[in-house]
Amino acid sequence: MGDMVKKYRYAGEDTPIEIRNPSPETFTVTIENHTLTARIEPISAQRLKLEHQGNIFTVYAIPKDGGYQIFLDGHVFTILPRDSGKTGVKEAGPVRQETFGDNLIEAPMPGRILKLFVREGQRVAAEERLFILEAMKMENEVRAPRAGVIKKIHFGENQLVSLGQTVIEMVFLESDGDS
Amino acid sequence: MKRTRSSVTGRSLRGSTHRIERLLIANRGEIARRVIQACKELGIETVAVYSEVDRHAPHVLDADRAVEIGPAPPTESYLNMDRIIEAAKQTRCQAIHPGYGFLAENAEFARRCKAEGLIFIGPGPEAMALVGDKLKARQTVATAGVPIIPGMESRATDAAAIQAIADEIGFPIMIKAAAGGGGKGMRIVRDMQELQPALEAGRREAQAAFGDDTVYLEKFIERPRHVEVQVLADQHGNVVHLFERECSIQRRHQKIIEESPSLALDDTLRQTMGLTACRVMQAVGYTNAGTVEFLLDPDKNFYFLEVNARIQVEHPVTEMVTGIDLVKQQIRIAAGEPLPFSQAQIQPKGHAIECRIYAEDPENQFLPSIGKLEYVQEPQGAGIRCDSGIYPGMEVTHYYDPILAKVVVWDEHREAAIAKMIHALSQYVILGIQTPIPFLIELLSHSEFRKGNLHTHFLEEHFSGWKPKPGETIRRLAFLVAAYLDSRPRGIAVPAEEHRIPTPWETLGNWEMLV
Repeated sequence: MGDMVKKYRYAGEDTPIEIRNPSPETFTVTIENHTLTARIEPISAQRLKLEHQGNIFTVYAIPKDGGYQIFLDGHVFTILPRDSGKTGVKEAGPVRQETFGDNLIEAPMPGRILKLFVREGQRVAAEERLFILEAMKMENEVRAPRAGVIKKIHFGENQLVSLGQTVIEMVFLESDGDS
Repeated sequence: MKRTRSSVTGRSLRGSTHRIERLLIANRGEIARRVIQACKELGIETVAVYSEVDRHAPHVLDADRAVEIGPAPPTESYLNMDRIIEAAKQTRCQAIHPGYGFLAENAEFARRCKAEGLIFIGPGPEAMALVGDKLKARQTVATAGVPIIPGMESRATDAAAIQAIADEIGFPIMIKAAAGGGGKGMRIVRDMQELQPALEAGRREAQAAFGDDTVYLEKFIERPRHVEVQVLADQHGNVVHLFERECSIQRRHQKIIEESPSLALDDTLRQTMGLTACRVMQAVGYTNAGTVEFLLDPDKNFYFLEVNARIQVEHPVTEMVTGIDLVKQQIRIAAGEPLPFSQAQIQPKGHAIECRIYAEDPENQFLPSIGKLEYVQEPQGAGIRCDSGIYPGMEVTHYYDPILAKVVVWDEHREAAIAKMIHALSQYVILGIQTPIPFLIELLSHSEFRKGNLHTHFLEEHFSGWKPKPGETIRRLAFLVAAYLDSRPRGIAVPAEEHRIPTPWETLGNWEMLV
């Protein structure tokens, strides 16, 4: 196999990786103009021995969201292949709407809708409270990412929602949006 | 293998003896396992209870017997008093240990256990009801000469009355649940406009968590330390303290790192606070293990906060520095035994730190992170203790408090203990969900933490909007590993049966056994 370039996403950034020598044990890649060579020996399904410049690491990895969750030296990386169309790491903030580029307000965690502050058709300002999600006995407020109009509400108070389920569809009012 | 059974027998003040041969643990997770361990060491048989989703949970597997008590929602299982008492009677237990959370500080449950002839491992229902009512507790300890934070002295519900009180106390103000604990129902209010919405949210959270929506107001003290004192009180009038724990590192009013001793206390203040804690427990008529929480302001004035009428999450820190097993002492005290040591015999040694490992995402406001634990490997080594309730393949659900495990270390002094904790956390592998482990490693390495300049808003001050900052080489090696895994024909998505480790008999080959 010759040289090959793959793109991976971690912490919101795409990084191309040139794979130079995909031999079973010694692995050489070029990342950001740095060439790294490591000896890798799989120990079990989730565990690898990695040797780099004489330093030994035990690496743990599982498949996650089409990519991998990797434990290395006390750090945990979620790395996704870029061509899968998925984003690497979720954005900070309770609402993932911007990550997906649509107007769907999703549940940031599984839980119960404790209180809805808005009605369908209502105008809301940016940062206005939309609903309270109760999970693990804590209340978590979900706010509007931008100003807009509530198009549709998919759940009522006291209903249970799973992680990532769309709770509210919004139409944004600014012209730069896709409203 | 047949194990020898014994029991714990004590004599109470009134002369009646109690024998505990079998004990039911009305809890789950790491604390249920901790209590089971103590019971087994005392020769007491253990009965676990579990909800439908916890059928294979470690606490069930650890116990001698187990009783299913209902569906996953806590109100139908771990909070279901009827079902738990029935299970205890059915299995002929003499005692119930409530752990922390759930029914641990429910005076009604303690009362019902007593009425049913079951020993409740904790304080009596009267003391529990008294300290459980934060307002009454404030009044009682103030009468005993213990300093309290200025605030509401009565329960008011009328909006105008509360506003008047708020004006008198002066902003910023802290809203707290009268039945509270664990940060639930708590809100900081900085001006009158925020008061009403914060009261409403506080009441709702208090109602959901404790079934009582009473909240009260206290003056909010800026940059305080949270310092608490562990107390043991037997049924013969002996009360001792086991020194302090500093628990200032908190997020959302919940502790995540605890240590003992506190750098903020000198021997004089340590002794004063210890004796004050004993006086609090005497004033409220408390028996068994309990904690008196104080706020310590930057000028080293301390104020009574509340009594935690239970074994606490952070109890191992005290166990490490005193060498005293608090859970075994709880059981012995409840059986009526007198304390086996005097105050002078309790000597702290070295330094202990605990880190709580919650199922939560430090990059996303510490919101709960839920899912399947695909891989778990716990830290080990000299001076490292890991109390956990998890296993690979376990589903972390939203039904229960998101604590997965606690890592506790002991070393000769604080600096060594911090280094040991960083080492321990760097070995702790949990894959499948997000955990605060990388965050905790960075926090322990922070210069202000190392200097011991702690206060309860430490995280907001130094770590808001935290993102992991792995070194360049480590980050690139992680990419290398991802590329390596992709280059393998089937990556690491090995079919389930290949995860199995072959038995030595399968890998042994053609060997002959010589007898």
